[in-house]
Amino acid sequence: MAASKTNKTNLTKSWNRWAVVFLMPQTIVFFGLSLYPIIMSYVYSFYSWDGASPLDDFVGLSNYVELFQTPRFWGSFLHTIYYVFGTTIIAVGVSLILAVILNTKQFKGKAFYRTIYFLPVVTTTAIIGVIMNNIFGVNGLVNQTIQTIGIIQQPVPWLSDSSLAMLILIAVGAWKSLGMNMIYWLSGLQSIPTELYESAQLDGAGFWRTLFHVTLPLLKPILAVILLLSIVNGMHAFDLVKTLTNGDPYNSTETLDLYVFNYAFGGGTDGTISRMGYASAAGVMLGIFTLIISVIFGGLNMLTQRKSNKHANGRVI
Amino acid sequence: MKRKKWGITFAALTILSAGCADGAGENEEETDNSDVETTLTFWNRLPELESQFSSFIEDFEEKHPEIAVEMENLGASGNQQFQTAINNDELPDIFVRANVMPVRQLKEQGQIKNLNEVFTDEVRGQFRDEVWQENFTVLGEDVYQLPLYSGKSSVMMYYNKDVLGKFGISEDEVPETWEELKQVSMQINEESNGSIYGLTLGAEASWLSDLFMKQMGTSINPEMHTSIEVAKNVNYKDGEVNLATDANIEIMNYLKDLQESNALDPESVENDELTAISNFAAGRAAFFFGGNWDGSILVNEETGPGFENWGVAPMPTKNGHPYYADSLTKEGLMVSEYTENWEEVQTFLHYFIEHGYTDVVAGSGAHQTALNVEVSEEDAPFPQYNDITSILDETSIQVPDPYLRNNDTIGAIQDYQGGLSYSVGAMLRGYLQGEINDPKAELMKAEEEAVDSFESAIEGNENVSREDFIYENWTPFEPYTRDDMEELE
Repeated sequence: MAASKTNKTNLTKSWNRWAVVFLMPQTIVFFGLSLYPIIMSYVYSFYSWDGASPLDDFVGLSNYVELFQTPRFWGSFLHTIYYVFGTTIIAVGVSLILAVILNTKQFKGKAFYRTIYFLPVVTTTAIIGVIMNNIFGVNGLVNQTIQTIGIIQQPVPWLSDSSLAMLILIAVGAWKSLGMNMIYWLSGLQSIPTELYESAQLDGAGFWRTLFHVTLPLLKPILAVILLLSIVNGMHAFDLVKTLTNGDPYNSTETLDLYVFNYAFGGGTDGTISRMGYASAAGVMLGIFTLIISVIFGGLNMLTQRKSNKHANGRVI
Repeated sequence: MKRKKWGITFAALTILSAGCADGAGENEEETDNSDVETTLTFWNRLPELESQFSSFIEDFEEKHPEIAVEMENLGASGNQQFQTAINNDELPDIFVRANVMPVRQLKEQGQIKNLNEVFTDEVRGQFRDEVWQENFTVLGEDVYQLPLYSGKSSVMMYYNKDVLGKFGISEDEVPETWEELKQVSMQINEESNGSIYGLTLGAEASWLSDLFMKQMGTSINPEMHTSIEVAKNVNYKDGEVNLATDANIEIMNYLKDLQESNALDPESVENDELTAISNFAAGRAAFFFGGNWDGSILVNEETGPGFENWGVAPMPTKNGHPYYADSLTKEGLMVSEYTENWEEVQTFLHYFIEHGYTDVVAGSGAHQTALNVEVSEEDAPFPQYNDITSILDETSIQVPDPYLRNNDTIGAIQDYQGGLSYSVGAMLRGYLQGEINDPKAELMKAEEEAVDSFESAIEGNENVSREDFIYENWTPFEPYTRDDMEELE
């Protein structure tokens, strides 16, 4: 008995050692490459700093004060919200429709379509941005095609008109994340027990009734995950914006991440000067906004779940 | 069991490290050269000199087999690379100056080496006088940068001879005024059924628009100097910041008018400099506003369109009056204070002074050399080189230098320009894209921001006053010399 206990303790110790070995690299990377830069960005935000000089010009909250008084900062915040809202609605909704279609038993060529929709996910975002920039340019493929067909005489300024540019950005951003969302939805759909569908069928429920009363209610937990991921990803839109519109026209598609980049590494041929301290303040605000939105969303999600649990318990009683 | 597990882990790690070691070994073998005793690191951020620097280094290594030079051409992320290197005291042995930090600050931080040993009085005498500019090549009497270019730089109008020939327009009819440019451009667009435009711009590169607007604008408001690096938008007659000038408003309205008359290529608002050059070379437009360096890009078959049938003229102005551009020696080679190969670096710099100006700078045809080098017609890198140089000589003029007058303006100007959110070039693009309806109102808004930034920069730098930016004895279009500055003092 005592021997077995000793063996068990040794085994636990050995497992613990292995756990430490496997956790250590990730922990080191987290502290070194994530936590340290986050802490330092808070520190930099209280300094007037160009990113290369000694960090000795403490300015207190003045970077934040300037940030709050700058219309361009609030403009980029608003553009980020538009982007998050647009991409989330389209990517989450359309991917659900696709997942439901691709999950039906009768549908043929599922693997082919899943691959097609997943391709943009594995393609580098910057490359997508560059290609789409060419496609939607004044003399791009889209304009050339519709001009050849004779739909329009003059080219459409897809990327030079603020509303159109934002629409293109949202559409491309949504298309890029469609495949990943579709995979999440499919995993949710495939975890629903087939017995439930069989019972619904026995009760005489058709496709739509089964969808609204069986499938969608059971997908609520996965919806919460997809929404949260879409929102957080949207808040950090950078590479696509940088390569597709670069914040144009006249900063009307500049997102918060791009705003931070432009001020952090602005030094260059136009004589502007890098303002790492100010950009850090903008980065801190971006982090806070993301946190607030995530907390609000998490709270709403919790409330909805509690409500539906109460509702379900009431029904049981 | 436990031993087995550790054994497997150890074996895996050994294989991994063996893999790494193998790779490293191969690389070493590849670069192994028995004659090489020292390897110098060199960062270049000037794309127009890439191929010339490469062949120059090959020649240098042939003459000095004991020294190897590893050149890295910096791309779009060059500034970030410089920032990191400065923070870690890891600048390469030799580098082309980056727009990250003023020279004075680099020196104060102990990042750059004093080059007086290389630049003896005799060597300095071989260079053009105007290249010794405070806070760029020198700090007081000390040299910190080997100047590459003469500093003369201006925007000019390139014209496509194929397009002009197609519509029966001779080189004598190349427009000199705004009205002439509009008429010729409209004629070309009409006769080509809208497929060819008069003028194309690379307006996505807002710094280029900024430059040509400032330079063209001197024909309307000569007191507004054209530098985008030193005291941008400051009027050197009264020391005030002006953005909502007549010149800026009129140029913006003129270009909008060209756009609405189909005289301006609509793609201009989306094109960067290189795309605009390619469109121009492909015959999409007859004229292009570009810098003196764009001639070398046009003829280059690797990095440019390899187009030869073009000419160059000064940009048209409102009434055909001349314009000017500030002469500023910005680009040059610097040496890291931390170099452990100072002797070899000196050898490289001496070799550059001896051969680099003809082989690299004049060879590229992008700029006029800092060293007094005459380029004959036979030696010119391309036939239009001397035309570009003569326009440069006409248009590029030295203007007052606040850095020379008061060294403390370096910090003030950095603070001032750090507070600017908008450039005139970006506003022009916004106006052409229809995002700005009232250019004057937008310019006024930007001016307010710039005035605030300028005033707080002056307040924050106690040894600097507005007087440092007022030059009563300056006559625009006439070179402002050190003697003029001394006379003012």
